[in-house]
Amino acid sequence: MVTPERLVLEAGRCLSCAACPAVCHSGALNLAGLILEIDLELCDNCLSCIAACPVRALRLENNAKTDTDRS
Amino acid sequence: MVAIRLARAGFKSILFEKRPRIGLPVRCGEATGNRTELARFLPIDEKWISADINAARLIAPGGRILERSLPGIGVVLDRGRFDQALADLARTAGAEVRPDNEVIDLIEENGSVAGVRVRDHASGRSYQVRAAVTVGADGIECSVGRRAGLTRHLGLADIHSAFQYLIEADDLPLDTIEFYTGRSIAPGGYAWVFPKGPGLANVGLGIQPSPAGVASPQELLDRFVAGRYPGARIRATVAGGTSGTKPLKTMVADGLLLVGEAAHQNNPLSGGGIMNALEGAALAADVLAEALSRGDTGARALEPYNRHWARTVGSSIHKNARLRKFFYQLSDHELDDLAAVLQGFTHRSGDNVQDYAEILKNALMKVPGLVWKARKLLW
Repeated sequence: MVTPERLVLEAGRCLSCAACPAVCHSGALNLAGLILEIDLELCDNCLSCIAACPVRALRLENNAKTDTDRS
Repeated sequence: MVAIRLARAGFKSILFEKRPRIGLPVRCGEATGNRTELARFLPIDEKWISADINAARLIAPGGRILERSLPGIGVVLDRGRFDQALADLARTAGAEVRPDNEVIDLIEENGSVAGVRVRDHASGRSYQVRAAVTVGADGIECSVGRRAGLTRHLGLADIHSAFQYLIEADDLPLDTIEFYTGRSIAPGGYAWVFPKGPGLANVGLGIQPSPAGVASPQELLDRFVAGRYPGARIRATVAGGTSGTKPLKTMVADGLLLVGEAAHQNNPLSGGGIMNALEGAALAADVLAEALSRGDTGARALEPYNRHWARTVGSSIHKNARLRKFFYQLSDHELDDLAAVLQGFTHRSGDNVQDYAEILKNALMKVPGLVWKARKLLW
């Protein structure tokens, strides 16, 4: 299923604190060493991780947006 | 701690740490119990003690200050060095320590955990290690416990999202820990100032996160530091989450045991978990040594760990989980009323400060507007 929005990590803000995988009910988030991995296939945009992140490193972004749009 | 004790008892132990360096980055406020309590688990080394705590100060939303002298009540650690000291003790005892190696799955055979699958981040290689028992000590993520079905993700109501700076400033407390309450400071939580040596302190806050939350812990802390310590220099940043929920129904399965925050062993009210984790690990090591000696690491053989924990620290965690639900939904006005009554209690000599939950309960009885709200705690 294509959802209109997808979870995006702003890697420069992430402090690898593990608050987000702790609240992720779908198992979409995994802290591999110090790198946060997001499995968009599993993510259902429940927003819990965005709320739990102490530094606002995660956000939802419109799927249609391209890298060029973001820059 | 489990690896240290089992290795000393002669059992082969391997400790996997997914981060490249043990204990780093720090994810901790670093305040904990006193030197005597710590010395029960490992020899005190001044290298990992940043400051002694001899007093505590609670600041109510309206500004009322509750202060108490508590000589030798605790210490503030250098958690990075402390964790590295634990790993060194494990190595010295004979355990193998493998940083940068992440447990990515459990090996299951006939319904029992028979070891782990591991990824070596440096080489990219994955491999298996078979073991008579696997101990999940992977903190709030608890991926081991989740894979084994002992626990699941935390709801937003069961977690504190926290952010902290190590700051350098002129007017920081030397040996007093401070707690600030109030919805504008830390909604659903509190802010803290923990001394880290002359001119240094951990200043942080934890909140109960909400999708409707307008400010992140970092934004709230920036506001707090700018107001309380203008001109402070930020030396380090720490982020993290702490579990604020009751103990797990069971911390064991066939061939598996959980310790520390992975087993919800931290204090849900304060978020603190260092002493509880050491306590849980020591208990786990005793039970495991006995089970391994008998050659039976099934869930029934590990059950004494659940039983002893429930009778000791577990019961206080239950109590503090209920207190947390109550305490952090109070309005600023209610917190001020409670602080006014508590001031009488804190000035009374003879109170056992360890029984702060009891003191809080007794104080609640004296605030008419809160008795009804607190009925589940009191009766």
